Amino acid sequence: MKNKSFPNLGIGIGLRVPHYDEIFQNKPDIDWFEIISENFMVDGGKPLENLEKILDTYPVAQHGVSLAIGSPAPLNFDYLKKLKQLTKRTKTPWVSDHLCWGHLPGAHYHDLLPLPYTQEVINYVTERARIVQDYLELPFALENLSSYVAFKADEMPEWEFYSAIVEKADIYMMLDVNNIYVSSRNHGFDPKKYCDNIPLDRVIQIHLAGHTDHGGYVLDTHDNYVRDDVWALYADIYPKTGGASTLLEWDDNFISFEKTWEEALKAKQFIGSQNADVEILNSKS
Amino acid sequence: MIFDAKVPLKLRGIQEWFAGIITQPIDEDSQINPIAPSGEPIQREADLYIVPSPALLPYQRIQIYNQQYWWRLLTTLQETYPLVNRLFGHEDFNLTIAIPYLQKYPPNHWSLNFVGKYLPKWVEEEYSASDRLLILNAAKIDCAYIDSFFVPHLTPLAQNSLPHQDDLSSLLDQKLNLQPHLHLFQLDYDLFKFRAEFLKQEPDYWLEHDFPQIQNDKTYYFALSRNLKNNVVWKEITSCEYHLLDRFQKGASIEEACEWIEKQDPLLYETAAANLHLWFQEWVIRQWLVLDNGQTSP
Repeated sequence: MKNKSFPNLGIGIGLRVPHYDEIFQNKPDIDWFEIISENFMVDGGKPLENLEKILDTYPVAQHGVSLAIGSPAPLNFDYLKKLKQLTKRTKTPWVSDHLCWGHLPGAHYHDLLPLPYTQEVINYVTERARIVQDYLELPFALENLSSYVAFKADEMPEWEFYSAIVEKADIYMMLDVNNIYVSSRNHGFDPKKYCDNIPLDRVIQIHLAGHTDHGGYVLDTHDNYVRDDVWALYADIYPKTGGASTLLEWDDNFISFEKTWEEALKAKQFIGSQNADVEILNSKS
Repeated sequence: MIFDAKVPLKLRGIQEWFAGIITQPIDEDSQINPIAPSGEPIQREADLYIVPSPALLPYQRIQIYNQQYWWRLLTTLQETYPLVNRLFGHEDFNLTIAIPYLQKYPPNHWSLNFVGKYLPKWVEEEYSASDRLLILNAAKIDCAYIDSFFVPHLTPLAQNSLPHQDDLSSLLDQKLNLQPHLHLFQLDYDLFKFRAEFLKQEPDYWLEHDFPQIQNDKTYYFALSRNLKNNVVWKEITSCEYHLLDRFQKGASIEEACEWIEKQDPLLYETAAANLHLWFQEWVIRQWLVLDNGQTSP
């Protein structure tokens, strides 16, 4: 079952520039923030100054977008070194990034590109994930993508692929519930089947977010309120994880910090009575 | 180009094909190029790699990634080059500058901050319209703002290392340098004031309104740097300050900088001699100066 050595940070939101003024002036009583690692893997200036202000008051967990673990280039140890240096500064309890690819040697695509679900790819990614976790000396979690293509090469459904990697590599899941829903719409599978077939005891963090429905496909836009279908999935999954830190992502068409925080707090109705044994850390203790 | 020795060949093949498709520019209606890089129709080729969804054909599915690639990079360039973007307007900036730039210098770094790194170089190499010099200077200034925001701040020459405010003699032969976030500009017009006015409005505003006036009555000199509050700010400076700072940026000592100025212009040298001690104090307070003892930016 759930490895209880992971802290349950409570309910947090993604740290974003449009909310800085509100956060720095009012120091709202929020459990934790998630930062995008790459935004702070810089050599100087305002980003690090702002990060230090946040770290003075709040726990922070790091989430990356550029590791691209399934890429065909060798692992970038310059990148990993900077990532590890940042973990020393933030004291993040884990590091997460995406189960995707995103670059070829000499070229970066700045997107989370989907992998074909094959045994060969499982073996390839598993070995790299073990190396990353060993190097970082921290729990390493991979996030499931929202995806818009399925490959003719696929040998299995996504949940089998994802589960095989995290179990073989002995790493963890950064489970994005909105992404499960978005992918289920784009590929025509039952999201509940996805949730019933992954090792939920390996989930150390959950993402929630809004999306945009274009009819023929759903796009993971992070610019809207969480839809009811996604809340329903979250309600089903959360207790089965044994209690995992929950985070609301909102990355575009920003609303006020207060409204963003209100949206995140809706998660409480699904956490409350079902987790008598979950320790929710007081961020200020 | 080095691939991981353990990458499965089938995976690599799919990824190379995928990258070739998504990096082809989308058209003005944001549609995928109907012809793949191989010369084959994309509809036929996508069928070989991708399964259809209940609602979308294979080429329509990869089109989503094609659009996201270009929208993300174009938005990044519009935001990091706000002056150049406004000089053209969004649409023209994309067509004339951003898309051709990205085709010649596609991103090769994991940070989006570096996407526009070579844009001034591209303007110099490829842009030949009559306003070339203006666009080049605008690009250099926008690029300098981004650079100044992120580069490190090295250990500055400290005030307490100045033995006496009017006596720089102990520092005369000490090689100096400038903070990496300090950029110097010599321009035939006041492009910084123009930029400040220009950026008060959104890009599309300037499609229907006259540009702000730009002063071009003399040669202007500017210093752009990150201040002690980590804000990137600019300051108009005199030609003498510019030339002194420029020599320091090349690793000169005070003595060497003054000797150089005397050779260029004896009158400028007299100005330097009369004002250096005051300027030096200011530059030390601003933490612009560093000792050239091997401190480097990573």
